[in-house]
Amino acid sequence: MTLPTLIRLALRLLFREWRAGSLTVMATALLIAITSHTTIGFFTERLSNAMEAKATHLLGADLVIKSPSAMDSALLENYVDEQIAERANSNTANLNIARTVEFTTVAIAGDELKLSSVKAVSNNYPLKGFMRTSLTLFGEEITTMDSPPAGELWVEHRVLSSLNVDVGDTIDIGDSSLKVTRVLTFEPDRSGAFYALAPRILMNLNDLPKAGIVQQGSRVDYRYLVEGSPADIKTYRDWIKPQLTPSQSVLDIHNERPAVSSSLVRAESYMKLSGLVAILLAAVAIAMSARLYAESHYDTSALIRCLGGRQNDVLFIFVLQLAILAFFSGVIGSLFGWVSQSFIAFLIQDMLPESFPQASLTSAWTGLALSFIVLFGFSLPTLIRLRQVSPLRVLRKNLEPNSLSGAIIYLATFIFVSLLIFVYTQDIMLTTASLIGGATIALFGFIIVALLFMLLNKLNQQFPLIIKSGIRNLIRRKNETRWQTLAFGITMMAMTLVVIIRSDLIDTWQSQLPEDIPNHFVMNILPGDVSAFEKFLADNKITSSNLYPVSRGRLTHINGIAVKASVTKEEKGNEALNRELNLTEAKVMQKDNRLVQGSWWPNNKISSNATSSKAAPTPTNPKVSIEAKLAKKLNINLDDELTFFIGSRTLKATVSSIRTVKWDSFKPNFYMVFEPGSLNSYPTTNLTSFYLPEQNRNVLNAMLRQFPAITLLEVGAILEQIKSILSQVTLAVEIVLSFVLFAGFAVTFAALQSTLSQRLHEGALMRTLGASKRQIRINQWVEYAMMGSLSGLIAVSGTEVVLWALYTQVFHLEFNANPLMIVLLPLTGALVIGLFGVFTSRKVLNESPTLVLRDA
Amino acid sequence: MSNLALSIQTLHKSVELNQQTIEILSNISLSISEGDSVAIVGSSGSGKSTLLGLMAGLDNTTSGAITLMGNNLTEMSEDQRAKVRAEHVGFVFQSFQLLPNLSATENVMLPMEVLNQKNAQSRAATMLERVGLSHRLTHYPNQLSGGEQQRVALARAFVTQPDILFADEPTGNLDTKTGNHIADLLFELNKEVNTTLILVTHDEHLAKRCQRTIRLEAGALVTAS
Repeated sequence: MTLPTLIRLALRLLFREWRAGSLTVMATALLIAITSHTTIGFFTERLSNAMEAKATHLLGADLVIKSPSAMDSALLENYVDEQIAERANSNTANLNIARTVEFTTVAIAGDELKLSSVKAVSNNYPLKGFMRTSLTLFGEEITTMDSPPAGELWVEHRVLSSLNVDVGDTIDIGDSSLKVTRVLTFEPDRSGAFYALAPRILMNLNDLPKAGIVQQGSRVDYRYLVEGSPADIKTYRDWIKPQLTPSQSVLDIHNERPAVSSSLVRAESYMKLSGLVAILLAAVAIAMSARLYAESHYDTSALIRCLGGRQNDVLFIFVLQLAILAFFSGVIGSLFGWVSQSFIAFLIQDMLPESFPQASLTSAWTGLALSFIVLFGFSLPTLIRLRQVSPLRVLRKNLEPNSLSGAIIYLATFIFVSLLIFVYTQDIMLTTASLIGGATIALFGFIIVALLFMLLNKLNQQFPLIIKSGIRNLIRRKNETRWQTLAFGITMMAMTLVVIIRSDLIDTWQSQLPEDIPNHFVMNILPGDVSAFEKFLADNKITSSNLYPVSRGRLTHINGIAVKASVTKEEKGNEALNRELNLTEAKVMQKDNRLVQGSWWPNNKISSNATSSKAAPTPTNPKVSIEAKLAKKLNINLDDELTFFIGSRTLKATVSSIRTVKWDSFKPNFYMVFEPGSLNSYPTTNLTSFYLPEQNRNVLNAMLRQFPAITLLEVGAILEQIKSILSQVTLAVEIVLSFVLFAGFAVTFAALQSTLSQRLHEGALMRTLGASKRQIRINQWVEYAMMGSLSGLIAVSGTEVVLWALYTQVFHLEFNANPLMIVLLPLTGALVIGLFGVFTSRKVLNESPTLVLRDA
Repeated sequence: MSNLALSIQTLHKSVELNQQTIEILSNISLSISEGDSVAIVGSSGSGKSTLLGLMAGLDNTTSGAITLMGNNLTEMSEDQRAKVRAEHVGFVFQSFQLLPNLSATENVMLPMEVLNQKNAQSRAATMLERVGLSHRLTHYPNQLSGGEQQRVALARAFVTQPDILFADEPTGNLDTKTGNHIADLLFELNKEVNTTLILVTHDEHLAKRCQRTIRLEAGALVTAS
């Protein structure tokens, strides 16, 4: 047959098949898979971009380069990228770069001096996020994206109170006198300065040279804040990173904002996982309906061969039909995906950021590719059989084509599934884990199904007559029903997994951010003010965390060897070695720290009030507890001796325990915690955190007036942003869940359809022989409900195993078994499969037996 | 002497079943001239349909040779045999074998499309008219009675004017009256187109309408008259 003839025949047959409804299940399952993929793809791309945008507000930029010295502007600005060179001579035309220079200096006003943390910023600072200022001390806050103009200063309240000046007065910074025009109340990227001793002064970068403060050898923190499109930022980052010196570093959202980062990572993992589950479920539905499709075309293949068509002609016809189906499903699925994600965005618009960028067409292209991969991957092994159909089948209907060796079919399916998972996740680890997990589940599932069927067969005689018949039908059709049971079991398992993980993840996230989480940090509480501060808090009914005494010190030696010589080359640039750490002492370990090695010091001799740890005697051989990840990076072990340089003196301590710390909680956390009394002879201030409702904000003014030396950080704004990110993520996660459910229904429907013609025939025979509709309906209920229960049992075992693996290995959360599932899932399976099965088999009771038997 | 349409020499056909060799046909030799009408008769299980399938090149022999219109089928691959079928053979089946998703016209067009012949649609319509189905051109098999479906099958079989027509129990699924009408139509068309007709049947009346009868019993030729 010529190509045009084959194409015409293929199209004609396809059109007729479509009208006859033979392709409905396959097309619907494929459409669900592609719509799910594209909806999730478009939506998560938009949400991810929006969340990153919001999160980068906290960073102040998309990328920050940190350097202890001024960087060569040629290095920053004139990099060449082969891929984008044609766009502009200077490729940083696509990027905005702001500069900040941070240093400590003494601010002077008249006779008053105050050591201050000064940040000189370029005119385009901040690139992202905003600042809050007020025109008067404790006045109304204004949100602004401006920066102080040349000649002006924006200062924290503490500067004003320490120097005894007000807005409008001048302050000397080096050789310059600059006018205070605003009070600075919020700065987006003030992370590293959380525990700064010195209050903040913001000035214009153009004023810096005249101030004459920054000289060769000055201790200065230069930051270059970069803003651009994700692609340009990535290109820039990839280009500049290898050119940085060890003391320079690149910061981004993931290492600067771990709380947001870990939530984002978890959310994305969950969405990817759920999306993948939806697609794999739909693929199962496609495989089942493809098998049915192929089997229903053996006669067609035989006839075409009989009339003179070649083997490859037959294959071509069906491959072309599938290709057309894949193309249209891909296109329509992508369109549906676009529409549905737009609709979802419209429904929840109040919760979304003001700027919710549109997604690219990436998901549409991947959706189209996925359509082909899924359809061919899960139907080709069956389709190939059509090529093998003997023309003799026209005379002998029982002649089935030889199937490909089972090994080849499984291998082909395995390759397609791997490709599918990898294309979807872009993650080798997740792909490998999914494949291993999935193969194990399928294998064990099949074994369990076979065993359950054997058990059922043995026990059937014990059941009442009304049930026996239905179970007998189930066992009699075991070649099909075993696969159906396995498919349902895996479907239920997937859906259960998705629901449980979603609930647990959200509970975990929410538990990190309870309603009354501390939204204020207070630092630099002088030792002499501690009692008065505690009284102030008590009088105003403010509950705080413990007051932690803090000394600033630098780790200098490990076991007598200088740190830089003790550690690996990669760790020489570790932040903990290059800046002062906040050293504290505590009687008891913080609640969310976990001891992994060693032991905490006994606390029975020390008073319960942490701030009166000064009363604890100075230990002769102080002990210190170190954070686990830092210990690992610096190769510090139990009983190692650490030397710290505090002020102008050293402190030696022995590592007595190693603990993990939850850095993404919103509580004070420390790398080093000493036993009480260790810091007795070192200068310390105290810090604490507390929750203050918005309506009591005026208490802060009184606090600042009474304790002018303190640094007060209002982290409420950051918390609100993070809470809103998490609530958006929760919603997105719930939307993803619905696609998994739809896909699950598609599998159920496809699986039930696969035995429908057989059931129709049997039902017609039974009714011809005198069985009542009631009898047949009861049989159906029993059969489907039993199948559903068995599926539920498979789901229980699979779910527990997979949850354990996911929680402990992927999400790094605690795993708890769910004993309720052993009852709930079989019951749910019985009900759902029972209902679905009886509904899809209603034709068995409604069709005329005469017509059915005649058509057979 | 007319040319041979079909020649069979010492044909054997056996199959392996449960590690046993089952002899289906043994030592069959016969010749059929062009234009002959031959009935192959025998009881159920005698090997009639197997012989038909081998003659039509639908199956492979175990040993022996089959030559159809000068083509040695036993030396050909499956695709080569398919080409021979397309060029020389027509079929009528007991179960009609119409494609359910094609209309009557489209079913009749099928063999012409295999041969890439022109004017397939108009020729199909003409043929359907010839068999008395001009009013059912766009109907689907499930909308036709058994007799009507077999008439569509006859139209399909004869539309390419094949050299040989193989008919396997063409009236087997029809009642007597309809079966007789179909048989009449079959022989009329056969005469018009002047094909060689090879007919498998257990219906002795139908067999008598053929010029020759070949009788099979237990896979062996009993008589070839």
